[in-house]
Amino acid sequence: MLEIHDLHASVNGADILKGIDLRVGAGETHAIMGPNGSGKSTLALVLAGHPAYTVTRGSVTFDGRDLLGLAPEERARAGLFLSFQHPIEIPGLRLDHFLRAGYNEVRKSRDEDEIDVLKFDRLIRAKVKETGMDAALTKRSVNDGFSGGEKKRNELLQMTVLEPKLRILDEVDSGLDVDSLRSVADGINRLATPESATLIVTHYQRILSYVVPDAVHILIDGRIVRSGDKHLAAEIESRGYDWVTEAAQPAPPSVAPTAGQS
Amino acid sequence: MTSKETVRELAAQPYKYGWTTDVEEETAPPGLSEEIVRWISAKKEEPEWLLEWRLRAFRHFMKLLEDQQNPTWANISHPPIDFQAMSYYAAPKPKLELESLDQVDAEILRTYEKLGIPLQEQKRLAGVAVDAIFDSVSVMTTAKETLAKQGIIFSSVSEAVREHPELVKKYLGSVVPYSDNFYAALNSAVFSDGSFVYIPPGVRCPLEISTYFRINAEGSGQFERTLIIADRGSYVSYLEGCSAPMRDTNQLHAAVVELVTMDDAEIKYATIQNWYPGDADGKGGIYNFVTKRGKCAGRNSKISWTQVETGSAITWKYPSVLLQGDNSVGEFYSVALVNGRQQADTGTKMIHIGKNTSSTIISKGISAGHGNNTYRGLVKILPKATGARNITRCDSLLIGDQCGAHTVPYIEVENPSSSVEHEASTTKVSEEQVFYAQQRGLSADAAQSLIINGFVRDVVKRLPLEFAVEANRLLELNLEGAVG
Amino acid sequence: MSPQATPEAPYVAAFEAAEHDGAAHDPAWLRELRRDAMAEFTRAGFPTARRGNEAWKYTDVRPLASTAFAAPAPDDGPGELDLSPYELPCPRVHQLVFVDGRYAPQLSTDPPSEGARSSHVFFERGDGPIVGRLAEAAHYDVPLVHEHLGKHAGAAASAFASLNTAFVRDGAFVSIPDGVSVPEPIYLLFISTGRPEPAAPTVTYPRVLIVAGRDSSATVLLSFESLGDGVYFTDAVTEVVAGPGAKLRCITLQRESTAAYHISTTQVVQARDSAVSSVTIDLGGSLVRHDLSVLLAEPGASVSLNGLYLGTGNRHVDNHTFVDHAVAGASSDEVYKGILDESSRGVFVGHVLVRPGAQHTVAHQVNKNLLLSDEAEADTQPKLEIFADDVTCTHGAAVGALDPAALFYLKSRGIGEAAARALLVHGFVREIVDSIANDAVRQYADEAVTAALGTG
Repeated sequence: MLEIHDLHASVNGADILKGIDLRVGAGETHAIMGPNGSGKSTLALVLAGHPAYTVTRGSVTFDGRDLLGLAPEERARAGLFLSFQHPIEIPGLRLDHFLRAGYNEVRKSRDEDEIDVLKFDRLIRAKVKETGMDAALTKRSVNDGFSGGEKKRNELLQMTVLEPKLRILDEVDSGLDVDSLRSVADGINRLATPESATLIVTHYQRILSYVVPDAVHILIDGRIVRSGDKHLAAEIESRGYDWVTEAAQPAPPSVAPTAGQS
Repeated sequence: MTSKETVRELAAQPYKYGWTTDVEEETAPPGLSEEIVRWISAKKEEPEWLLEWRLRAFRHFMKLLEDQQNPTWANISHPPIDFQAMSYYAAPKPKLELESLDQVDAEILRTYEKLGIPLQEQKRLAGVAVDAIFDSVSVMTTAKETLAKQGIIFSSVSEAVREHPELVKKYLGSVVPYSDNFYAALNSAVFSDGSFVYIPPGVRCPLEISTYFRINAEGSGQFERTLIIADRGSYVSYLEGCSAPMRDTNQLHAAVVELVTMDDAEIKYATIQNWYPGDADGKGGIYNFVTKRGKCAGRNSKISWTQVETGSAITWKYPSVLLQGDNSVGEFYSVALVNGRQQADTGTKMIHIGKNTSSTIISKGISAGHGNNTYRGLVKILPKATGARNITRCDSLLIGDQCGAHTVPYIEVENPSSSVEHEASTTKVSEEQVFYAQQRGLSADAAQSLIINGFVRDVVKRLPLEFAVEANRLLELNLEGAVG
Repeated sequence: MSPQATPEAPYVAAFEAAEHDGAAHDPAWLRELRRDAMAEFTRAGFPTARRGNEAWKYTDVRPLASTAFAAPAPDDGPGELDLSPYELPCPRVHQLVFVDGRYAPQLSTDPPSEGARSSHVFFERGDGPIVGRLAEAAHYDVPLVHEHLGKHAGAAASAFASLNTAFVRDGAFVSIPDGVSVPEPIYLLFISTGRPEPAAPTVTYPRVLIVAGRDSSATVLLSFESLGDGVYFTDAVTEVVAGPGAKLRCITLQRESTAAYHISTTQVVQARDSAVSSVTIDLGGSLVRHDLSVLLAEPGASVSLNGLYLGTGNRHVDNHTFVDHAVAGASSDEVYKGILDESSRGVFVGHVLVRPGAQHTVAHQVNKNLLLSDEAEADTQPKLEIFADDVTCTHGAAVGALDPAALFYLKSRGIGEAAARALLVHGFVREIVDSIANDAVRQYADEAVTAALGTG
């Protein structure tokens, strides 16, 4: 579904991604782990098409299409969804209006009819229930004054409404207490289908106890230096990242191509 | 020639620098005329072009005076200034070419020592080069040789006119033309001395460059002119301080400062202004009407103004930056304090001309007694200044209910990719804050000092350490007893 | 341009002609008010100076001053008018309509609506509001009119206010008696026919006086509309007097022709514990200037000032507001937003004065501008003048483009560039439209704003 080959990207002239190779198949859940500043969030934003980042080398295909040639909204309509680490607040723009606009755009791109306000209202009520969000929030401005947990639930709600093929979750557990984490994780698991995939970007192993990955990749200094199964995440949790860095020192580039086997 | 009963005993106003120096001075007779302009120019043995320039400025000023074009827009009030009643030149006698300290009048040396700026080699502040300006002339410039080794020119403007006429001719009036405003025209006609600094390409000035201005003579104005040029990739940090005796007549200080930075160069300019503010009833004190402007002529260049304004009866100054070079940066950090009957109308102008230029303005105004404090600022984004950014933060602190704090920002934006943000707030030193500190054993005054130190910290921390300490001390001194 | 000696001369001539005509039947105090105002106007003249003219620094009225505007000819009435585009979406409205400055009885509800009293019954006692013609109220010498007209936005405000007062004839008089709550909106609709050339440019002087009694409550919508795209000049003055505890909501919707000059002066005076909400929405006009002053004269008074201005074409919109905290314990809250596209220019000058002794003042002010084109310009000057120490005052201003991060967020949800921009622009104006408390008026204003913004 997603194939990343030798991806390099920079921001303001500083290289952040220095050759990422990764393959994610349908029905799979992958986790990208790494310390702060390793380039995890950059990878997520580059995949979503953030204009601040420049791809300097490499390719990304998504469902057989050249992802890098698409505008951010075209990527979204193609089924790529990014749950933001820091969802932006947009005072004045009502969440339900925003959701309806996005939903209809995605439908239009699939040659489906736009749905009217009443139908959408019913849909949204059902989805809100599913995600366990406070229904009143949908009448408020997007993320405006939301707590950290509410913002993350809002991302989950949008994901639930838009039904993407590839879910990229950037630090989805930050700002969540244990109960919220469990319910957000349940939501993510519920959305998993054999036709869709999940890419979890995280510093901590915590979320991976609830959303169990098929593969775990360690990203350090813009490269994937080690890949493994879910046990790798547990090892990071108990030993930290330093040992991977040290172990990776002798032969950095040769490790990368092995990433993404599954 | 020296002052008589000019020092007033003032219990309420603890101005520490109010004494006079007993030194024989040569003073021009009061009055402003072409003759005086010619006399000053001749006194300084200036070349013809400079005299011509002065005369053009003089004619322009007289025209403005005649047309009553003296600025009235500022939030200040004072009786009309009689430009014919003051003297435009005063210098200690004999005016010598000073080769060594031995030739400096011992009284003057004592003066600077008393002000905390010892000029004697063994007593000088480490890491600081000083130009000492006494009334209309520079009496001493220290560390010149050390600086000269790196090609840095640090001298009085008078000397620079003689030694480096090409540089002075090129830059004098290039940032502040004589026609810029009323007081700039006056200064251009009669300026007597000031500091000149040139930092050659790629040189990081190893010392803090500083000028200390002292007004001593009675009945004279001080009109200094400072010119600092930082060539490509150079850096200099400059500091000025000032004080004057306590007198019950007002004295005019109308300076012009011009800064120019080339590509990748940076000038940091700091002022601690402590002119005599007048007594508690508003009698006496300096009228500080100053034009300061920097031009970021080169790409990636930076000009940063920091000012702590605690003195003067009236302060009227707007240190500004023309952001001409792409990616250039302008900064203005200001603390202005008014107490007694002081008036301050101060702020900045950030004119964004080049692409991706950015500016930051932080202004902290403190009003106490019957003082009135106005922040007046212009942020202008011209049509070609794509990606320009400005952030402005203006905070006012009021102490007592007889003072005023005013904020008058002008924001003019003509480019859609720019972003300008202005925020302002007004607060008081709350009784709860003072009480809380008192409950922990501090006096009310100490508590207030702590709160004020916190209020101005963002600005004061920009100053070199010893000057930051001095700035805080001045603020405390000037506010003593302001909280009941 | 006519070969007159001064731009003011034609107005002097028109004034003398009018005084000679019907105006002579008006009460002496009114004629004196006009005469004084005319004298003041000729003394001050149009504020055309380009130097040392701080109040008009950003707005050049020379084109206005040099245009010869004439009073609309008496037989210039529009005949039948379709008012359906201007209908408020609610069953009951107190509605007064003026066409080219003249009261149009056939279009107004007269009596304005059931429960309200018409202009003929100014002296009767009753429970309803008075929504009537100012001309009649003045003619019958209604005491409230005598007491307030020209006393608040009189000669001192500006030459334009003086000019309006000099020609004050018709307009609206709204009086809400003590303790009366008016649930339905009071709708004052000023329509200009705006005939294009060869019709001569015309000038009208809409005048509104609103007096809200103790603990009364009402919503008043002032709407300025145009039928054509010709050049004309609306010189409006509104005086608002809010009694103790009164709750008054005033909405101004300005949708003049793209060639029109619209200059307005509004003075609000508030007594103890009164609460006034003002919302000004500018969607039309070529050169627009509002001077809105609020005097918080007694403790406990509160005012909220909101404004929205849309700039397209060469439109120039200038909002000057002045909030005078004259006493302790009053509060003001102000939010003005501008969206400036094409070659338009938006000006905001917000002056808050806290006078000596006005302790415990709370004053907040914000001006935000979105610049959508390379040629657009925004000038903003949030001005604080404070003479009391125990106060909470803040102001803020921002000018910039749409937030790229918000734009990306929307795009990442599949929304295209144009739709994303439209959503963000609507989000930006939401706050102002939502500050209109009355449902019908809000809905009406919302539709007008949405139409003006175009797609979305």
